[in-house]
Amino acid sequence: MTSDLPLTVLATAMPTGSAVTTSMSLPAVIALISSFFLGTLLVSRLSVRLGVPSILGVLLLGIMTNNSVVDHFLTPEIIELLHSTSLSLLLFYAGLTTNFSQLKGLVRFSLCLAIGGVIVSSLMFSATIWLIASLIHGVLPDIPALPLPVCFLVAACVGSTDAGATTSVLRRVEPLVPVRVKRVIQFESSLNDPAAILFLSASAGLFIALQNPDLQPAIVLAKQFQSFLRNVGSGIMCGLILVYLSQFILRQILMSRDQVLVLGLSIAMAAYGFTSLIGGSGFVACFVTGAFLANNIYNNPHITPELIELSLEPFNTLMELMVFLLFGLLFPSHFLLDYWLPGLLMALVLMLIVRPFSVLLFQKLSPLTKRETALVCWCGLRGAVPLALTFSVIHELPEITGFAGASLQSLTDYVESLVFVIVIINLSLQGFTLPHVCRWLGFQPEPAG
Amino acid sequence: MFLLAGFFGGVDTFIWGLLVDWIIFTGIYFSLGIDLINLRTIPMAIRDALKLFGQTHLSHDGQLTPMMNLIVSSGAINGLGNLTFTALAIIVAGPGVVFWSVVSGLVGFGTRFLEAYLSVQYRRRNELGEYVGGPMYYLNACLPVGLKWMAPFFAVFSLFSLLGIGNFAQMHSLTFSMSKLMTVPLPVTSCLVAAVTSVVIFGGLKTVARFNLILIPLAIVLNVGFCVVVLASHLDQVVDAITLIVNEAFHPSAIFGGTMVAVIEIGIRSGIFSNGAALGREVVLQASASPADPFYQGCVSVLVGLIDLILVFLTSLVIVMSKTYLTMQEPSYVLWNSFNWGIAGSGWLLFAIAIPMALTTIATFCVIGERSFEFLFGARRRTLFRSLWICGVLVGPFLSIQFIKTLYAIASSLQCLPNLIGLVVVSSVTFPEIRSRFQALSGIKRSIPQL
Repeated sequence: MTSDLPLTVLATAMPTGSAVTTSMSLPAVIALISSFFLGTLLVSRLSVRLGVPSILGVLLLGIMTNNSVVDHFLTPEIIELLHSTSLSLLLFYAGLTTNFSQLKGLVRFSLCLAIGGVIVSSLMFSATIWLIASLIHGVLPDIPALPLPVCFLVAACVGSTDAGATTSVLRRVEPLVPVRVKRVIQFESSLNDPAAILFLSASAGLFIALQNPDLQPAIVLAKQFQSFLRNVGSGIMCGLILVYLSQFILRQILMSRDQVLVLGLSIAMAAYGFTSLIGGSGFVACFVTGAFLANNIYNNPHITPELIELSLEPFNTLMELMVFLLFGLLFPSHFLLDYWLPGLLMALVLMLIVRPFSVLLFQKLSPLTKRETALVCWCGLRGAVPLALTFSVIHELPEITGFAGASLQSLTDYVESLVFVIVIINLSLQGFTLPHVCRWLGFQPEPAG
Repeated sequence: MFLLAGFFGGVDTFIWGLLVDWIIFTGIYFSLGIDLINLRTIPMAIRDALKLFGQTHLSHDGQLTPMMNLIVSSGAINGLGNLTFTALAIIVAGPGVVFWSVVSGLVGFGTRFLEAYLSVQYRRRNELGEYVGGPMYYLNACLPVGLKWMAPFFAVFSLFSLLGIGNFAQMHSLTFSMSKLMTVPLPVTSCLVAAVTSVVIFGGLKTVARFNLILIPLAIVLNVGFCVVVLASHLDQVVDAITLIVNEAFHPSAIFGGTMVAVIEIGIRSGIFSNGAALGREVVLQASASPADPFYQGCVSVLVGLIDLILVFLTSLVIVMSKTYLTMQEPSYVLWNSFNWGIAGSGWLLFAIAIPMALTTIATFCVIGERSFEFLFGARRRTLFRSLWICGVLVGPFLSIQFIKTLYAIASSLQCLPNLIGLVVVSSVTFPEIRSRFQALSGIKRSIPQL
């Protein structure tokens, strides 16, 4: 069995009946792509003006240009390729920005927050999703109830937070935010990406295996646990091997600074590709490669981790934009009218109950003050990773639920709309209020130095 | 009882399903991390080893002379089990496994080098004034405080795995092949072996080393010589056999299950079994040897691995050429038949090779186990361990082969895990040390390009 989430995307996600017969010429396609990206720049500017994360604007731009012309040249293979590549680059970059040495005294808390937080909040949130979906199904029978496994997967999808979104919002109140809170948030949001992916793939594998009635639950559990350990272990080991390789290239082969970007991109993709081929978790390998590359000392004093980070940063931004744009483009927006209510309720529960609970659970380990913890509680912005993961979940839905045909279609739309609404509300509400919360909590600008 | 067996079988497949990957990945990581020094130093290692072999007196920094060190370490990894296990792997999964076991042996060089390096670096004197070292000592010294428990953990499971493979399994296969092929009753063989072993092991490390010095060169020369003669006399088939091995490695034929994954897994497992990389066995002996230079002992450990690799490869080549593995018999029969195929009537040579190997393995593994035992209970109680070991020799032949296999599989995997984790943790400190040492030795200076 494949150990990683095959990010194949469904033709089913696309609006049906939109087959376009007129094919576009190549210059037209390129012109279209360019105008999309130019549009994202414009929209980012506008959304920062309005005080919401820039990616929210990009997502909305994608929705607004959601048209049948795009569906014509975005084949499922291309979408899958784009998603895997962008996810692996996002994780590689997350690893690069994970800085252990800055976290003196905060490592234990941040680790618990990232890994424990994903597990606790996913478990808790899945129960709430199930409850809300069942309640709403009782009141409005048109909206289907969600099977528990699906709730689990949706909750796991939105488990990872996004540092980029948070920092883009906090930019206006930059001097107010304490440095260590910033570092905790940064570290947490980097590390909980692989944690959420692993949690998602483990639970998806478990639910698929449990569909087979011939196997004993104990054996299924043992097998899943084994494949989980293999994913993690092989991912880490492959990551280490690639770290060595890239250090060798950095020391011996690189000739100029501008080649660093090429190296970074190829190492990230190699980490995903080779590790998945061998049977480890490619995304974990990407993260490990990035993390060790940033935290190891090279023999070459002219190349610093910062240099790699700086060279890759623009590409990371591009990838993030692409994930959001892609999700917006592929999102069947007309379903939003049907499913906005459960999404809104769940988003509120996530922000007001689940996130604070999962942070406060580890309060004992935390050296932060109460005000700082309150800020961390409100900084759980969801970003690109949940959206990208949703595609893999949708792909595995038929295997997990055993549904087919129309019921599968409506379930798919439901899940997609849920994640979309949760991410949007999370981004807009929390993003909009974060600076105000920051002021309201009464943080003072820290003295320089 | 049945449930229990099922449980342990499950544990075995569970852990080994993971370990096979991890051992290979860590091996590649270690080899790359030290810039493939483990392979690049082979010529230097041979030259240095030859230079030091003249030293017959014991210097103050170890209990073994360089010559003894090499022989005892080779004795520790070249057991009877290597031959039968390789034969078994070929019977089960076809000739393709030979390729993968050689690959895993080459990859294992990195792990071996690091193990030996650290064993010598972190060795210390025990209460009796002897130098002792090994994975438990370097795990204890290098791991962060929260992980120190891995050292006794390693020591406990290494005791069990040594008992399983070095005592029970050797006795089992030795006594059974004696009784089947030469009709010597089981108790006779086991009492004889117990008598010889007790004389040797109560003499301590030096007596064990001298015992090895007599028997191991004989066994190795016989084995290699025999294989070379057979290969030379069937020179026309050698190329075919190698082609078959390589073909089967990538496209296994249907009679052996036909999946490449299975072939790779069995091949790698048989490679790990025979070269013992990541199990931290013969490095325990090297820690007691002179000269106390970590880098030199790392090279010796690679040399020892190379000897083992050549032996196993040559023997499996003979097995593949003889086509006796197609009969699907017991591994010892297959070995017997392939020896007879090579040179008619030379089956007895197998005994001339196997008996010394089994005897030395039993004695040498006792010394290795002793080190783990004294790490746990102190050096003065080692007589107790030696007596238990002799009891094991007497009991071994009467245990079920399934029990021995499961004991070994579980214990060795649990011994392997902490060792691997420890090596990975230490690697970031040790790699630069080894690299700079190699640069100083070879005079290669690396210039750092400026970007």
